[in-house]
Amino acid sequence: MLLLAGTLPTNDIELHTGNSHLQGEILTIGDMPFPLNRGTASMIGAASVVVNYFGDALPMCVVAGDIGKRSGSRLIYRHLARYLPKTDVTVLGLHYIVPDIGLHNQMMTSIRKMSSRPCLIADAGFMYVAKASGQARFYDLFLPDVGELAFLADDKASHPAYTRGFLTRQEDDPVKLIQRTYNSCNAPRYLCVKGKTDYICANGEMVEKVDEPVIEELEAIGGTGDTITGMVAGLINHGFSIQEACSIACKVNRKAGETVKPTPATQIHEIISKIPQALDSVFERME
Amino acid sequence: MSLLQNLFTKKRKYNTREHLDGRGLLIYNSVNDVIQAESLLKKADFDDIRVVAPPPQYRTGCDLCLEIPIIEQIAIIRVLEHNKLSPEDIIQVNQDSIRPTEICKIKDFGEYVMVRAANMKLTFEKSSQKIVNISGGGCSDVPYLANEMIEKTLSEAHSPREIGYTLCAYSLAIAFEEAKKNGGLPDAAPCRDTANK
Repeated sequence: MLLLAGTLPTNDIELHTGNSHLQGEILTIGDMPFPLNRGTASMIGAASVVVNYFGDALPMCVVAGDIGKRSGSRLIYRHLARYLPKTDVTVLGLHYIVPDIGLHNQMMTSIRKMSSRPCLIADAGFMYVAKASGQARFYDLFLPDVGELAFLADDKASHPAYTRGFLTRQEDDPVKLIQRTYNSCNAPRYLCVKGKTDYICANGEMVEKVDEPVIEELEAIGGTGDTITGMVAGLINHGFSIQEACSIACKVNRKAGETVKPTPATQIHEIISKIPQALDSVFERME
Repeated sequence: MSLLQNLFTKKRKYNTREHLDGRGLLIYNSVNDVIQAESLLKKADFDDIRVVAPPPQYRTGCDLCLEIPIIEQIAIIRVLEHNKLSPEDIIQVNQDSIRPTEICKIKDFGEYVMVRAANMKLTFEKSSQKIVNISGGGCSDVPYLANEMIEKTLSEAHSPREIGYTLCAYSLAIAFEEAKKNGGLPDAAPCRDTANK
């Protein structure tokens, strides 16, 4: 089972669980509709498109409303800590959350109790707290952008806001930052570094670069990293290896972006709507 | 180097050590409280204060605290108590603290400009100065801040310092202030180090 978890930007809901389904710009989780905005909604939306493409079972979602005040984040950590050992989750995608090292560690204790450990994917706040807690190596995949990569490479930073200047200035050399991240034990087995060039890394080695087509505008569009994370989760759930899933998702994201002909003002739902035809295109080229 | 210069150098080093020994940290449970306290104290003319990372035993993964000269503690606490912003704890520090990054990078897209601070990116249209996108970040208030700020001009939008709650909001505020400066608007605090890309 694919399980996706993260906060949504609202004060109106507490903890909410259910299968996700995407229709147009409306994402439905259980019986509740949500706008397809940047963040967790984009991640779940992109994953929903991928499972729908393959005809796989709908993703199960654990979401909570949180505008940064932490209460919704705490509900998610506690729910996962309590219920994960009782589930048959095989792929777990963790996304926007206010970092809380103590609650994260409780969740990890529960994951260690699972009869079969799921593939652990972390992005956004969950990636920050995974690194800050010193448990990055327990994960299978992180998906940082280059700014977040500098944070992972900084053994003293507990949040990207504290990344030291000398590492921020090395962002033009991501390979060096990738090496530093692995050397400082702040990386999981796989890294998918999203940027002008996407770098896919396995066990300390850079194994693939995806750099075409180049669409500079995607960097400015909120949610373009979230869609990669959602697609990767859906692709791994379908049976692709982590490396294959990262490669396909990075190519599909660029292709979907190209189809939209984006400006820096384009919104993410426009790109998500193009994922099915981008999947067709990428799979055709792979054959 | 002359004997006189040596004496001055030694004296300056001694003073620096003394300066560090005289710092205190105000610990809060929320980043937003720290931002409010910093703003309040700056308005009250306490200039020698700065936001820094809390020491490891207080870290949750998204936190900030306020470093103050310990000699001014009584006056500072009086102002904070009066405004219902008392810290959870006060501790003394004797080593350099880690400060949030203030480095900004600017990318020009022609009709649009993207400003990045740490992991946060804010893009605005040059002609209208309207905020058109916010990307990056990972804390829960980022999508909320995007909903609140996109489609507003740089002058209309509230600063993430006022409406945000996390360190991502703090970084976005730095990008927002740099965008205002880049757009030629007043009351914009400049980034310490700005790079055009």
